[in-house]
Amino acid sequence: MFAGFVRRCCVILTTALCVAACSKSPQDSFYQSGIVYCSESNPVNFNPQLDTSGTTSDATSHQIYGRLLDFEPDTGRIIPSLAESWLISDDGLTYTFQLRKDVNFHTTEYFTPSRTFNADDVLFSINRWRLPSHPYHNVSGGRYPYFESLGLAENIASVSRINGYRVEITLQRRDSSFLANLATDFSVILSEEYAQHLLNRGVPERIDHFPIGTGPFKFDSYRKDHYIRYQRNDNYWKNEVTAEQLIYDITPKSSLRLAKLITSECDAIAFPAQTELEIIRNRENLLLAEKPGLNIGFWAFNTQRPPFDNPDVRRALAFAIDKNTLLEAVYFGSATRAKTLLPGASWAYQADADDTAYNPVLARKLLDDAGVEPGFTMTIWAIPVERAYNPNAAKMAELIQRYLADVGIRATIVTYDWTTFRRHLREGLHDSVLIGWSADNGDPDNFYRPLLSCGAIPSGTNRAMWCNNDYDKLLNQALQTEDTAQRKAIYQQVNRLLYEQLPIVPIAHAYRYRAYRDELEGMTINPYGGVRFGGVSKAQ
Amino acid sequence: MAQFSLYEEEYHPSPLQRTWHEFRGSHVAFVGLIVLGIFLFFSLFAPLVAPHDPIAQNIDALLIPPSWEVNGSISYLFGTDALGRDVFSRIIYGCRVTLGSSIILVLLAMLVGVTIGTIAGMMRGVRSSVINHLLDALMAIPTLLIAIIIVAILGTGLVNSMWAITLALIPQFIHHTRSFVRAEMKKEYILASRLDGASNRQIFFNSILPNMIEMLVVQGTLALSIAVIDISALGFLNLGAQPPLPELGAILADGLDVAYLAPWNVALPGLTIFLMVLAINIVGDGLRSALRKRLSH
Amino acid sequence: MITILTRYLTLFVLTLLVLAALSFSLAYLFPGDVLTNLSGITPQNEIQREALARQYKLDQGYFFQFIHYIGQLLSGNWGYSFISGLPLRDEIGIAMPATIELSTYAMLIAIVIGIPVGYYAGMKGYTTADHTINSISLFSYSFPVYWLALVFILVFSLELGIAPLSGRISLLFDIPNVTGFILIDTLLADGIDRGLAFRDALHHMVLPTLAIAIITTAAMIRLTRRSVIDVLSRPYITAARSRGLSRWQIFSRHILRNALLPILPLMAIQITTLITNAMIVETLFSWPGIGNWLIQAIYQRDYPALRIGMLAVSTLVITLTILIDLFNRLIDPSREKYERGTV
Repeated sequence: MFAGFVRRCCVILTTALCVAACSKSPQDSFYQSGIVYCSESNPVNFNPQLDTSGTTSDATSHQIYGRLLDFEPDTGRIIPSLAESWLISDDGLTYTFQLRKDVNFHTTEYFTPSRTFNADDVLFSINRWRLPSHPYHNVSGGRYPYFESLGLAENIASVSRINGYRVEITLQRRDSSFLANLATDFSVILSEEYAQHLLNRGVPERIDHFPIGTGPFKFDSYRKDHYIRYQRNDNYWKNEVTAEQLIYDITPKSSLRLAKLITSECDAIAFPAQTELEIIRNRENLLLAEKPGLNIGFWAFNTQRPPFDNPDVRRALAFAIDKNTLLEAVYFGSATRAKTLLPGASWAYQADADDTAYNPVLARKLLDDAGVEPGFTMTIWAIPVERAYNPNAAKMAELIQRYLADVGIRATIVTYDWTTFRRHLREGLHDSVLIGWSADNGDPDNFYRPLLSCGAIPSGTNRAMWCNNDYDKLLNQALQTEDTAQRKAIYQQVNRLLYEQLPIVPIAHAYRYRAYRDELEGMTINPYGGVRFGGVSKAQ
Repeated sequence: MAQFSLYEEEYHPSPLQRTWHEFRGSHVAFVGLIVLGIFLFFSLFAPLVAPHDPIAQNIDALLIPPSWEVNGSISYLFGTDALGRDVFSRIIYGCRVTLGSSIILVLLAMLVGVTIGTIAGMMRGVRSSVINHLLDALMAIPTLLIAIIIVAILGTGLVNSMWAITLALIPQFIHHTRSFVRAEMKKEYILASRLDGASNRQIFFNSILPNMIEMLVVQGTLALSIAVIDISALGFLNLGAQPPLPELGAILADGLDVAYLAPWNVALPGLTIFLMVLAINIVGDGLRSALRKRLSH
Repeated sequence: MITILTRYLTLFVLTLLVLAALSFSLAYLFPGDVLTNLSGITPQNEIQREALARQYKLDQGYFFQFIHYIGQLLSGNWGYSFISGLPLRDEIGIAMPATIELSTYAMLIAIVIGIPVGYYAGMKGYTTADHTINSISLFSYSFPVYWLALVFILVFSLELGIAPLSGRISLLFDIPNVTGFILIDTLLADGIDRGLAFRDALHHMVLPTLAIAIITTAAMIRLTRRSVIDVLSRPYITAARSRGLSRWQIFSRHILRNALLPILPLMAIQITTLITNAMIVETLFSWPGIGNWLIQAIYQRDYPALRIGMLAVSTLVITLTILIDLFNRLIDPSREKYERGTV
């Protein structure tokens, strides 16, 4: 009797499970019409000019917008995009761009463009961040961290329209990295007509939340912590086979992203954890793309807070940690040890640069000399998101916590969600932070200037809050120099200065990975900047 | 002269002894008690039982599988986690943190609950049904919600999550004490003591409290199983114990990142919580049926 | 009847007032600016700040602020989320039904399976069948819900690959939020293959529902069994038996109804557990419900969201509890106030 009853129960349960479970036919063509990408976090807004976080530019830059120039995926060479061609004057100060014709802006539920892309859009997009008097400059906060950190606005003397499809930009000083800066994820082209339309309606801030661009996808809807939905831009100027729908499934946990990739709930995932790479390589229908990354993971001290304003204290802390152990435990061999800010892939890399070595005894001695008593407490902030440059900051923080305990320092680990974290970081509430930087182009200035120059403190990319006039002078000197060997020599002086001052401890240069399912066709991995889904589709 | 004893042949066990006798009669309950005893032993003597330091990281031994697997090592019985910490030692210490804090908070909740419940039960003035109703309704608020609010006000941490759970457990002790005291106060032996001139205090400590102990033990085990589940749930959600403190829920959450690579980091802490709760539930169930059997005889 | 209704209504309103007061005081208790905690808006300058303070009556006494707060709650102006900047009422309007949906299905499973099995075990009291059911239910009842959900994910999603592990439906379906219940919304949606969407939603629902249902079912079995055994030991059953009624007659005439009555109030307590479990499971299955939302809010220290979320969830739980209590009182006036039970 009882056994029969149990059996009946089991049958009912299995049937119920099966009705639901076995009924899905994954072969249904509907599931092939769109791509789901599991991203790691929420974008701050939909305009990468306003934010340096990789999450924002991943969600916008290559999907919604176009830029004047692009990097070729394989070589990193600068190639035409919205600008068909360009000329540089002999003195290196004037750049003339010939624009592409018949490029359509998106037609969406909230905006219908009446004209195609032209010089006015380029002027609007650049002047917005360049001119404090521009009507849109102060919309959405008025901070343009990437451009501010490079001092680009000051260096541009004028941006003028020659005719509808020709734009001229004049610089104050020569800048050998100027074209590269125009090709980065942040130099996107917005629609001037849409901006005017919003200004007339009195809601200019909508431009950064309901974006209009020229990219392969149109923005559809966004729900924080859940998804971003895009539709294909059928009028895209490039002829590519692209999926009808693109969805960003916002999944902060890397283990969950991998799980979703395995169950094919995601077709591609951001930042697979280093521990999971083997699993992805070993699974039949998953692919893993990898490239040496232009990035740096480091430990920055807030040099405006005592005792971290003392270079000897910073040096002591640098000697207290064993970088090789951190590399093994956090990156699992998928990174190289960082001596300076520049990775080996950069032309200005200095192989014989000085580096700190693990020496807790020396560390304790330096601390004693600097008057830091045993039992001193400090905070280590660990970024709450995975980044190529630091896939597991919390774990690294725990390891450093142990090392510091050995030299008598009690460290507490602090973390918030990404938005709050960066807000507090900008306010300088940290003692030290584990964070990093992914380069937007291959130029060395793109590492040195945003990370440690004085101008980068207000823009919030200088996490050490460190300002040194000699350093800034050297950087400017390097930009004026066209000769590569001379420039390299200047950067070696910079490295020397940084080794003496140690505002940050460089830790690692990591490889970049992207994992996706083998049905995806057309996936490439950019050497610089974010993910790109134009030209990607699913095999039918 | 030989003492003449009328009752020599008869043996009168005390009520507690009779309950214990009934309890021991059930093998399952007894096994549950032994398992619970083992967990208690682990908690008390964690430093003696654990082979390694639960927070010592060992870079040379990351993610070693448990000893029964092919690549396992006997020196790490349950394997190691992503930081090379010994999972077995972490679980032993985890028992200490989880079970220990649960027991403390249940005792605290019991103390407060019994005090308030007794006052409410003995004093006639406080019988206002509106307040009782309100309390009853408010006690329906989920622990998780109370915990979230306390964390928002005071910040995360094991102690704060303990406050939250204590707060959530108090009402049920108040409720049971109040009904028990009120029922007891109507009985004749209380009336007799009252006629003898006993004060409320004396009545409570000499007559009611001894009778209440069994009810409290049963309610206590029930509360304990809830407390263990809640404390580890909050640790799991990262609202309770913070790393590197080895709390079972937090250990489980830590293991989540490597769940696919090293499933034992999820399976073993979870299994421990499950066994702990099961043991407590079995003991509680056994106690209740023992009590019920004694009363029905 | 009328008196009971009035009493419960008063009780209900009073409880809600207490909850509203709690939620109001949270704006002061939480760290940070009271004004921001109340409104969810960070004032950009002093002028805006003053205007907001005046709007929220912060220049007057606590009592008037509270009265104003109640007014705001009733008029649907619940403030804005600190992080996303969206009106909280809209966010809760999406999150709450998702949780209710999940809990409802789990509760249905628990009732449909738990009560009959409980009756069966109770009728077979103290036999092998009863012991087996009792042990199994004690076993299932001891599962920490988050671990059970994890094991489900590891086994069914990752190993066997028969069920998805996140969300309510494949994100490729763009289902507008009409009722908030995904199964209904898929049937109301336009321009998609409704059958496909419905099956997809069902498919997503299996694992989270089962994870919660197993624990609630176990509790339900134990409650019912206990109640049946209690009824069986009553004198009127002995009387019925001595009159020669068959087991079936005794069951249908005496036990069925009498055993059900005491279970009802106990179900009220189960609702609290059920919703707590649902809230935890949501975070594991990325279910866009109120639990997930609240946990995100606490991670991000979104105080306005926590203030309203707390009010919304406790209102839901308390409304259900009081309704069940009232229902119970109406069908069984002989009972004293509701009793707390043990599982």
